[in-house]
Amino acid sequence: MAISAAAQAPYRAPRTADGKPDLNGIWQTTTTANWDIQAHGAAAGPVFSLAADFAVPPGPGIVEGNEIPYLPAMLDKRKQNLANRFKDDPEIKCYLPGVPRATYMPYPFQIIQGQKNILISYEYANAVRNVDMGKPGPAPVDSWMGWSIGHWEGETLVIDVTGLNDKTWFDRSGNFHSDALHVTERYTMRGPDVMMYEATIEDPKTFSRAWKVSVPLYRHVEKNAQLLEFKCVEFAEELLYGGLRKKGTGPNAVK
Amino acid sequence: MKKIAIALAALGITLAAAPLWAHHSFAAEFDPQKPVKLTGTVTEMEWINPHSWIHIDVKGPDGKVANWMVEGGSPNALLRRGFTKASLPAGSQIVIEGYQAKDGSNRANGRDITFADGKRLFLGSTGTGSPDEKPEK
Amino acid sequence: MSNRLFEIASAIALVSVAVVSALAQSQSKSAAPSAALFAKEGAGKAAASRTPEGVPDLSGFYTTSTTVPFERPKDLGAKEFFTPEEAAAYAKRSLAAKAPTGPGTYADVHYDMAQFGLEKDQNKVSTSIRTSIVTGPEGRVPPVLPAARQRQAAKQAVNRGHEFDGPENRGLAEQCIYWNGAPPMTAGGYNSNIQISQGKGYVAITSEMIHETRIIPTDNSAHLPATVKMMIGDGRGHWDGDTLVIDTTNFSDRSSFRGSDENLHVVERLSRADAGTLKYEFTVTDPTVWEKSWSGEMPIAKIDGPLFEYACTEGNYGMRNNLSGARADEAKGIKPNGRAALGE
Repeated sequence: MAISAAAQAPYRAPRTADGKPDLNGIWQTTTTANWDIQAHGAAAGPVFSLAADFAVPPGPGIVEGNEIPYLPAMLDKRKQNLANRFKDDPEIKCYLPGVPRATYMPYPFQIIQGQKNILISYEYANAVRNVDMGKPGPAPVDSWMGWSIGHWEGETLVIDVTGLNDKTWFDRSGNFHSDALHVTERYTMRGPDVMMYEATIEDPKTFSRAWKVSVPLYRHVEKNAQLLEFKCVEFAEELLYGGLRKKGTGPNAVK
Repeated sequence: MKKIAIALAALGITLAAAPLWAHHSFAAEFDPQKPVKLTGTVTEMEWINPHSWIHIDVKGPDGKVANWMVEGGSPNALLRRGFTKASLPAGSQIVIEGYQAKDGSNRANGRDITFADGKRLFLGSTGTGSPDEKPEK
Repeated sequence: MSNRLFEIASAIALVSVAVVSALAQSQSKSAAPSAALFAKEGAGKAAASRTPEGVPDLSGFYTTSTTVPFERPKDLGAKEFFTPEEAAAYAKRSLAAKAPTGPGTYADVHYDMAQFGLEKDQNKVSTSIRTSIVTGPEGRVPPVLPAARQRQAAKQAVNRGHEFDGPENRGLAEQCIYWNGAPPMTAGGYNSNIQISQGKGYVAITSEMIHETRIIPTDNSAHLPATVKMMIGDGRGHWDGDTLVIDTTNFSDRSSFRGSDENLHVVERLSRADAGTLKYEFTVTDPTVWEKSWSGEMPIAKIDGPLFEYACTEGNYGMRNNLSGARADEAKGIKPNGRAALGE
């Protein structure tokens, strides 16, 4: 269920010294959207021995209208991704999560708000985005975290994200996109410690129309709030390279 | 100046053993006993890290077309100079000299990459590309 | 003393190498390093610009690549400073010195760095009249304590003969785990670029490889509990006049700086020297590794930027290829060992 900003009087956030809404801080969602951005019930997880520890938790989803308008030609790939999600999800390999997924993964991120740039640094895999607040021109290449250009519209930071490659998923259940993806993010303070995040998804190669996700971001208010180091690359090494190691070595070696 | 020359000789020796290469042991990847010279058509350039990769279709002496992957450098410095993913379009004719992968697959290091007319692919070397050049004494 | 000499160096003008061919879509001409590559940096101090919060504005893009060697070449003895002319000549010649590229050399089985603009002399680089980054009369890192030497040797011995067994036997950079984001800041071979971002109460330093960001609160707050260890450590900062002071502890022993381990403690001082340069000083302490603290100083030069994404594990064909090549060698009865295979 999306909370519409128009339903209440717009909150006027405290300002930074240069008169902009102050979005500085450490933020995190509480949603289970990283498992599935649509409404979903609980389900068994992929590892039998981890049982309830790694079961899939339920969630009401973050997609406005709960419908992802795949083009008919894309539905097969959707089915295939879903069936192979515990193998093909790029998050398993600690790959960079792309936008908007990085926002609603269950890890904090920090906004460092300057004038010429706003840095968004994510705890997950040191993912980082430089939001250029000027006019840097188009993305020269595609990247995992995209090419972000920001500007202010009243209380809202609007970030235009292009140059995204086609290798990320929107969640662990296989929702995907092409390299034509264009994301428009809107960050709006809703109260002193809550921000509304909306992302409009446009991808004419994959979807029949634009669609939107929206989810609240909550400020980490604890005094010792801090992003810590979550370097997951080496956790995925055996999965990625184990088949190429010398026989008799490594964590699964039979000596 | 003599002191500086001596210092630079020491620097030169240091450079040759510099850890610049230490992050990626290329000689474990490519076989110095298997030199290759590939003339082919670019099918795709991956502008990625840690190394870029140029995919080319190479016609063998038997007329069969084989696809090769050629290892290049991080593209980030090129991007800062204004190159883009459109800078090496599919269909470009290029010539590559390097060595083939040790495991026999169709991979090579891009030691020398030129267009068919001999022009270097992206940036010219800064004067020390000659294979016979030795470090300053 | 070093402060005054640094000012002299700034006033005389730091010699820096300009980027070749800013926006060329076509190929650059092949050219030997010429006088045209050396441009004078803006001399003198710019009015210290400030962020809206009123602290010095250090934000922007910079390179940590410098012509100043980390340690003083042995034959320079106690000579801590060049004359400006000696410094310029040294910088020019050190940039021109390249690794050999002929048949049978390591560069021969490598891609061409210069073609991709990755050679040091193809990019902006700072220089100073110092003969080494390490400051002090010796200009060299102090001797490592015998017990530390033994520990380091033992670590290396464990890996000897197993360098290509599996991914964990390769270096952290090759595994795409970590390159050079931890303090103290040093160049990384290429793409030695950082972005400094500033927001209320924080300074962030992002290293291009491997998209690593140190987020430093400027409230001089307490460090994390000692049980939390990170490769980039835990940095706490405060402003001392116009200088940002960063105190970093809580290092793991993984990102070892010249043999340091988890007792590493780094204090850095970062300030604006002029419009195009930052002054960077650091002091390194690790009582179980070095008998005494030691310090360094180098200029950090502004670049146009931006940093480009260096997604590493996502495209790490090289790891697969290295292991695959090693297995191919073993199948032929050859012991895989990168450099020895070339007779180096």
